[in-house]
Amino acid sequence: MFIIGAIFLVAGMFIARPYCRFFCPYGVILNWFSRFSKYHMQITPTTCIQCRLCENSCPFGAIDKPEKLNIKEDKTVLARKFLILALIIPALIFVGGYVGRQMNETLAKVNPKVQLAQEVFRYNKIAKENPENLPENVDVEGFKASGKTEKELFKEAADKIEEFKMGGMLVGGFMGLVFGLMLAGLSIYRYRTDYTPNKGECFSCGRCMDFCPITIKNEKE
Amino acid sequence: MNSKNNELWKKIAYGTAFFAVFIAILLIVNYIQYSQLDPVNAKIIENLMQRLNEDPNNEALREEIRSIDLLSRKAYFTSQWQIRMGGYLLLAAVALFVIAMQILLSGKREVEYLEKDEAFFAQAKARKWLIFGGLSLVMLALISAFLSHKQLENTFVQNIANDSLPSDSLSAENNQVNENEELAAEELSDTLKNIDSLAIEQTPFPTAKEVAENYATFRGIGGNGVVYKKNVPTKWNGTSKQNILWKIKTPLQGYNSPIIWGDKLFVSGADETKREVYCFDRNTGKLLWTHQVKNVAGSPSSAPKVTADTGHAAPTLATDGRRVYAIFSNGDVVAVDMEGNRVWARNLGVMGNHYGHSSSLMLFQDKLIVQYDQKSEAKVMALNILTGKTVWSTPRKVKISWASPIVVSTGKQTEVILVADPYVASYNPYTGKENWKIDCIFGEVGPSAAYADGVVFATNEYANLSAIKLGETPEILWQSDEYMSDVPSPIATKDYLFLITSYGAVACYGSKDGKKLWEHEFSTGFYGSPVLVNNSIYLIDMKGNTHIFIASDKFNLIATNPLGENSTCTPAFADGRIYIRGKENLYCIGK
Repeated sequence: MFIIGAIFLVAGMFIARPYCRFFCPYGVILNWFSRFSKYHMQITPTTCIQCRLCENSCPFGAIDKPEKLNIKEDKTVLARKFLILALIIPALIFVGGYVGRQMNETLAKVNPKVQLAQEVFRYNKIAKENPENLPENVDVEGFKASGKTEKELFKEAADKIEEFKMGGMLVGGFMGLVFGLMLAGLSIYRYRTDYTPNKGECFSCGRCMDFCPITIKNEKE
Repeated sequence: MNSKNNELWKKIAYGTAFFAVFIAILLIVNYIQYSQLDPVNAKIIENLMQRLNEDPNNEALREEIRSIDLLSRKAYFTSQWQIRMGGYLLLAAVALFVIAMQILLSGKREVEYLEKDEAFFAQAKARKWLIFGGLSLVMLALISAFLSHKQLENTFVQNIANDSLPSDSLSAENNQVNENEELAAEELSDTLKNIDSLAIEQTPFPTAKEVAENYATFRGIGGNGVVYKKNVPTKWNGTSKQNILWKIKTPLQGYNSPIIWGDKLFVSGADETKREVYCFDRNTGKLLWTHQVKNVAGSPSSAPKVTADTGHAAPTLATDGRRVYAIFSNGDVVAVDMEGNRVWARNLGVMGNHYGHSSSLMLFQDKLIVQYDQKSEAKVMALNILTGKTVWSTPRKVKISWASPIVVSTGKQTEVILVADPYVASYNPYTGKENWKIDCIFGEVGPSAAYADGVVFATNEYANLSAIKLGETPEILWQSDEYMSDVPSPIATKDYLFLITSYGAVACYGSKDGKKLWEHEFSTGFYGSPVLVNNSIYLIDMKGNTHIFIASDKFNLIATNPLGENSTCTPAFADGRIYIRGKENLYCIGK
């Protein structure tokens, strides 16, 4: 846990907000909902003069660049893409859900109750096979002192693993949906004439505004 | 930033990165070596120590051991220092690398005029990476799922099944199976009764005849306190050694009472660190063997807190002539064969019990009955005598109880009867199914139930004395709140009930009508329970005096025999012999 935390801290020195942008599941949902926001900041207060000064100014890479009309796809290709995506997104949700469900035991190992049951099981195994070298185990001792029986603990752990089937399926399905939507986003070409902030990814920090000559000019005036 | 400075920071970044990686590798190698070092248990030192033990006057060897030990410890602490210093160096290198990179990158913070954006190809490339990344993730997840699938769950489920498969038998759908099991067990019991001539080893549990010939559990057959032995002594004196055949100190203290099988007598003893089962030759008092109860899977490393007057070995043992069974305050239950070898052992969980566990073990055919009325999740359970596995376990909604189970045959059926706040309850010994229960008791229950002629008696201090008539619907026959007991159990005959108190009063009641027939105040109180032997009641007070009086409607004291030592136990009986456990010694009384 500390190592992962340290890695994110060091990475944060070079990549802006790495966890929030690339790993946080809530960030993904925020991204989706932000796209429907009615009001959002703009880089330039009037018309973009295509000076390209703001092009690389965003630390989050959230500026969408203008797309030229000459690469516009024909309607047949678009229709085919739409059909494929309409099929592939539910398929990815299904695959993700299935894989997530199968991953229940791996995921359940993060649960403290399952971890304790594993500890008790390992301890008992050592006690049976090599009782002379039985190591001290604070977790197992703590469990013994609680007065709960091993049978109860194992049952609770087995129930927890079963619960993780549903949890794993939901997480897997969600990841499938995220992949599907990302794939869709990369398969659809939007035609823009201006540099505009991406509503989903922009944090509205306003750093790009400082690069816009029109804003600077207005401020000077 | 000028290019000269830029070059310098670049060199610093490269240098620190290389240095950090180098230090990290050294640290890992050092850590592996360090984790393998154990200066205290170095093999070479152990070998030399062994040689020194064989030749203790070898000074040169002693010096050699000292120098190797010093070297080994030095190496250990040097590695420790190296790891600590390496950590600081690594941290410094990483910090310098980060600073250098930041300065280098800040120099590049100028708007770059990119070439014409080829969005189409950029998106296609990103899509490929996304598909590749997604597929890799799915593959990794599938491999992980394949490797771990059902492994953990099966392990746990299997453990639950091994431990308690028959406990499911309490459910309604399995009742039929249990009925069959009950019938089969009854048939087996009948068959065994008819084949007494078979060698003992061929039967898994003793016949009723064998049990009656011995003294296998706390207070004899079924724990009911009624024994049938011949020529039992009535006169002795522990101080003058009159009729004392032998006396021996028990290695570890315990408040459990002796039990007997054949020529062997068993008791247990324990303190906070040790738990032991002792077997004595009951004819000579010689300690035949000691079984140390240790390395029991699941046993806690430290014993629970208990009060001095309960101790860690209060429950009396049980034996079936094939094995002897013992339970201790930390929840360890052990079965030892008649030669002192362990057959099985398990831990039932630490007892939630502020005085210490004291319920004695009881046997019924091939089942060891354990009254486990603890602070949370009270239950009564039957363990298989051959394996220790739970045969059935019935939860009980009761408070902590220090009483012991009794097993009685009512003519129609055999019942296990338990007493605990708030009820007296009966259980089917084959299935654990509750037969009946009556709310009539409360408080910290110590006395076990007594039974005679279809009536069960239960009592507890500040509650009452209740007589429960068994039948289709058991009901309270009579109750009294004049005399009640908090430790010793009552004893009943067909006509009378004798109630003993811890402050020294003894009262006799008519068993059917509850009419008080007599009362007598002894000068010393009682913790040990009474035993009825050939119409005489043997009762030991806390100073070790055994009072013998006739079980009749008039108080008729036959004798009072001093032991010369305090005792809170209940005696064990054999033909011509009485065995009493004093606070420190074990006595054999006979002519």
